[in-house]
Amino acid sequence: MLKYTIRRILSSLPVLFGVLVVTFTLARVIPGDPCKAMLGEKATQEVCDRFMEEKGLNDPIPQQFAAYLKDLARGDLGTSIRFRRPITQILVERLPTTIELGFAGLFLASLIGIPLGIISALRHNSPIDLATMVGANIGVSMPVFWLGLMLAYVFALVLKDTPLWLPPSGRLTAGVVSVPFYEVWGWVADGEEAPRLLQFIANHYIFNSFITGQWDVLKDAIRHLILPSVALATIPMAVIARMTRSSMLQVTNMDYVRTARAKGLRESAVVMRHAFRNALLPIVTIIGLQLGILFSGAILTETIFSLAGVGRSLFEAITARDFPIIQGFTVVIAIGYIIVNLIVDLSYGFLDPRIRLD
Amino acid sequence: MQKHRILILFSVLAAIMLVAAACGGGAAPTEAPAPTQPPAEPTKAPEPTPTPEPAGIGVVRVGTNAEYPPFEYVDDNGDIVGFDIDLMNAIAEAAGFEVEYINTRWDGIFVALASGEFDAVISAATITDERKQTVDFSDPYFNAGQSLAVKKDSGIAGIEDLAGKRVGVQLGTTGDIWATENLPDTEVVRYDEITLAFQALANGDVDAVINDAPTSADIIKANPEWGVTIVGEPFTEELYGIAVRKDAPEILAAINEGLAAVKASGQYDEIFNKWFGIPEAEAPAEGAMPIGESEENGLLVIRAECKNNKVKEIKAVDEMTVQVTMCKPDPAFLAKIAFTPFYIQPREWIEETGGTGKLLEQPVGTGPYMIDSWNRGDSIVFKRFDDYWGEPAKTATLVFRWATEGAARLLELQAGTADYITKLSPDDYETVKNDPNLQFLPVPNPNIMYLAMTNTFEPWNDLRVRKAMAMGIDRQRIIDNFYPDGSEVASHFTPCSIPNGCVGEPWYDFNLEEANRLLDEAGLPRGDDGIRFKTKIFYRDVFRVYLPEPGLVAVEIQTQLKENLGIDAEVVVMESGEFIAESTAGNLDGLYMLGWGADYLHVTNFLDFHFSRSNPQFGEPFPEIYEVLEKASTIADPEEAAPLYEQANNAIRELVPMVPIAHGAPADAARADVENAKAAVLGPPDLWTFVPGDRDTLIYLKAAEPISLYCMDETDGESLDACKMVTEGLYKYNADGEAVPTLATKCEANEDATVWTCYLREGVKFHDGSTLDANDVVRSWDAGLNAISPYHVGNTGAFEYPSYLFDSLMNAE
Repeated sequence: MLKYTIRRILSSLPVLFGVLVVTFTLARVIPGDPCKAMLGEKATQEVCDRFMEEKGLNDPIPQQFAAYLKDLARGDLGTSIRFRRPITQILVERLPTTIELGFAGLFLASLIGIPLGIISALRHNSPIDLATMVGANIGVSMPVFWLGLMLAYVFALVLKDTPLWLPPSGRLTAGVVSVPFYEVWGWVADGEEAPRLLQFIANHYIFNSFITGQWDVLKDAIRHLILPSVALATIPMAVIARMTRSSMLQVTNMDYVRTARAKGLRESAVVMRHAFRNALLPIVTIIGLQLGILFSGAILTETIFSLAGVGRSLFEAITARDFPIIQGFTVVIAIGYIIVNLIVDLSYGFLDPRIRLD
Repeated sequence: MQKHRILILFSVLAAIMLVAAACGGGAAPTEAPAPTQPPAEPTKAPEPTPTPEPAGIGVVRVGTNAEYPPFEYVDDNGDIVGFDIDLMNAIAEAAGFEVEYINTRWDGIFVALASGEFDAVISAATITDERKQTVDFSDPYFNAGQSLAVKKDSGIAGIEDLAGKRVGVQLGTTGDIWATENLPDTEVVRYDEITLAFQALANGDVDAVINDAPTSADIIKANPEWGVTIVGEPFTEELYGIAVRKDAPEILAAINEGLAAVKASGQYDEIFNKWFGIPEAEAPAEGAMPIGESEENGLLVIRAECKNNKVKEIKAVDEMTVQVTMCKPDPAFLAKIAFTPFYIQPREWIEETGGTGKLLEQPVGTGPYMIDSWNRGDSIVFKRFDDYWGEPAKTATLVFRWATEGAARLLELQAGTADYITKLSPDDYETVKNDPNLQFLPVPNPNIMYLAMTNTFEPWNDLRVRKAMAMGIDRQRIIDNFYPDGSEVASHFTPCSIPNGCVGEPWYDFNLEEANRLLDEAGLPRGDDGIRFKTKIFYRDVFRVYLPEPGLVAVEIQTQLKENLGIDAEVVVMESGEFIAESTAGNLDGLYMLGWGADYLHVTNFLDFHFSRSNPQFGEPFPEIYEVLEKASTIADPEEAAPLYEQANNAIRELVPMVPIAHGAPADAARADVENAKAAVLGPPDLWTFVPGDRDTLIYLKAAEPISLYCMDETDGESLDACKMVTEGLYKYNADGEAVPTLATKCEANEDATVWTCYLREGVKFHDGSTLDANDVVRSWDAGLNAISPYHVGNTGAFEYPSYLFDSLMNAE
């Protein structure tokens, strides 16, 4: 298993390299002047010439790429051109937003999608099944953008002044501050900058406020997370529900399920232990694959709900041709994707002991 | 006396005064340019001053033409001053008579003297035989002969060393004539202006310059960095004398007596030095003013050579006075420094941060709010600054947040999670107007959308065709159908909210008959299909305040052209960057729709940018327009410049480089209970005056997060808005868009708007507790404007606004 993991990690290196080559080149060959994209269309030629020269953007692309790889090999993701800040620092601020959002979305999607799929499969062709599948089809085809605005409209505006009101944007209410755990626990003195790893952990507001007992902050953060994560979860939820249903249908028609029933096992034991466990493999696979959809959905969700996550930053960086951010974020997203898929593959062994990962 | 030198001398004088003021003591005296010496021997032992005979003379009426600085001119107080005047006063005192000056025209000054209108004339008058026939002259008091200027290390010691060299002169002057006649082995290089000859000398293009001694002295003194000096005495004689009417020998005698006494007593040298010499204490080391930064007596000075840059020197004159000297006149200086990038931070803070790093996140200003925290991606929290010098902010806490989508911003306003939102979508104007919980706030934004054509392509080279465009498009219909409420048909290129923007004749009325007649006349008759000719309409599909619906407006113009004028236009949409590049380079052969929004509120930001002699975007630039604009751009006073802008606007109307279509009207919105809510002409509203109902936090929602909070190096509205809460400038725009004094009590320009002097407000505190002084201003501007400053780092390092507003950076490569 360890051998397998190492092999997988090594075999993912070419993938990463490919991702890098493609993003690096694409970002530079798309039409439009990076100087004007970053500095505005009134930037004079003089300013632009100096700017391009100073940032090394006039060098041949292979030369720029070689320089970038050299930095990357030392673990340096570079510095944003627009913000003059290290990419890692920007990631420390932006990635937690997306991770929280992504986890909440995936959690909601699985929590609702799997049971719906199971029920649909068990009540095959019943009205419940029909309703679920129609709902799933609508969910799959619902634009995240529209859905997000509708949710915000209903919960922030129509339900204004009711207990069901939910905030339409941001991570926390203006004025509410999530004090980092390392400050609460006195790990880092006031005014001193904490190590980036600690900042990264503390920027997961829900986790941070939970472990430090800042319940008001926790409540506020969760309230802010509800609408975006619902918007984000809709499509994966529908996909998971459909996959669960078809996988369960397949399994429930197997001989061993009939045998289990014939043995007189309780229906719940039949469904959960015999049918669901065997149906789980494709479901887990599809959940892993949803991560890609979550990232693309995150761009829109973060935009509508004014969340400064990786998705929106990446989108803005592409618009502004801030190459170091585009590259850095893409690498991190690619690594995240590779890790999740690795976890999915490793989980096969636990779910089905017949699978040997060697 | 050569009248054509007056202008040069006049401009040089301003520079002399500046340099005189600029060099605060300390440096050693050096080989100061030795222009002229009194021709008479000054070493005579002082004779016992003869007892004055007041009875004989009394008051002497002296005529002078006070337009020839530094010899004689009228100063800011309306007094006649100058070298001649000081000398005459000294002579009168020595000889015991009184003087009454009569300022008169130069033409006929000797006739008037001869006819007895006055008794004497002192007016830099050259002694000539011709004049001697009608008037008497005193002993000469000044030699304004030709002198030789060279680089200090040139080895040229006099005119005898000039064989085989290149000599610069001003075309048609005495120097030109003399050099041509007397220096057969020397190449004479003629320049239109003598300063150009000196620049050429400084650059090594010529080896020497021959010119009048006083003018040369002035130029050398004003430009010590050139390392130029005068060698030897003047080698020609052009002696100035005091003319006296022939029938008053007693006056002539008294003047000669007095002159001798003044020379003998050393008073002459004092006066000479006052007007032409470099006082010892102020002589800079090696004769060159250091380029870049220097600090004298704790006062900062930043200097640059004049290349493309406008700003030549930024100087703390004293603790509370800042002076900016320009290479070219800049009447828009106040409008520019009122713009957020030029706002002031403490010198110490800029130096401590090295011009980047923390400076990008924690601006320290004098403004009504100070930064409390910037929670990246989420919000910026501002707290009221209690020691604010003006009226403190009404709300204790101000929060900036952002949402990209117009719909999301409106939703937040309606939901009550924001108090004020910007950039309302035109689709939402009605919603906001009809909602009793909200206020609709039109923004008087100065912008223009125009339909341009490049006159180097047919048929746009024909004025009649351009005029037909000017009259043949129903602009009102475009506004009515595709622009939000509050937008206007453009009567001029520049909006009326900008001073002098819409002086002159308004644009043509919609007149189809005349437009079609013009096209017929231009030899473009309708074909069988009713079509006169084919063309294209180029645009980019990008939302702008001046053009919210580009695609629809393009099609509307296409329809109008076909229906009204028989012009068949194809609509072509281009990628934004490519469109800007091609249209502004004058490469588009059809019509194109483009626009402009104000950077700073001055008419030059609209007219000079678009109609200058170097802008090819409408084809061949029109001298009828740019020459007037160039003249106007040397006048600081808007009222004085008004007739010129009227002329320029009328020329634009007459020549039709483009057709101004619309001034778009953006809008903001606020919750109904926000008191004093009002949008500003440029930049964010005065949020510190707002009262958000009974809440203690005001939430301001914009479209994006600021990039950094060091606005010298930013151009995005979000950064500038945030900076404006925290920092302040010497001037700022009031709600009507006028530049009004803020950290300065006033700024004054010299005559031609090349030197601006600003007096700072006393007792203004920064957020860090320090007090505002002139060094803070100099360092703040140095960091942005001076390319070789160690603090010129910033965020992207582009420093676009300083570079763009002042033509180029100081000391740029």
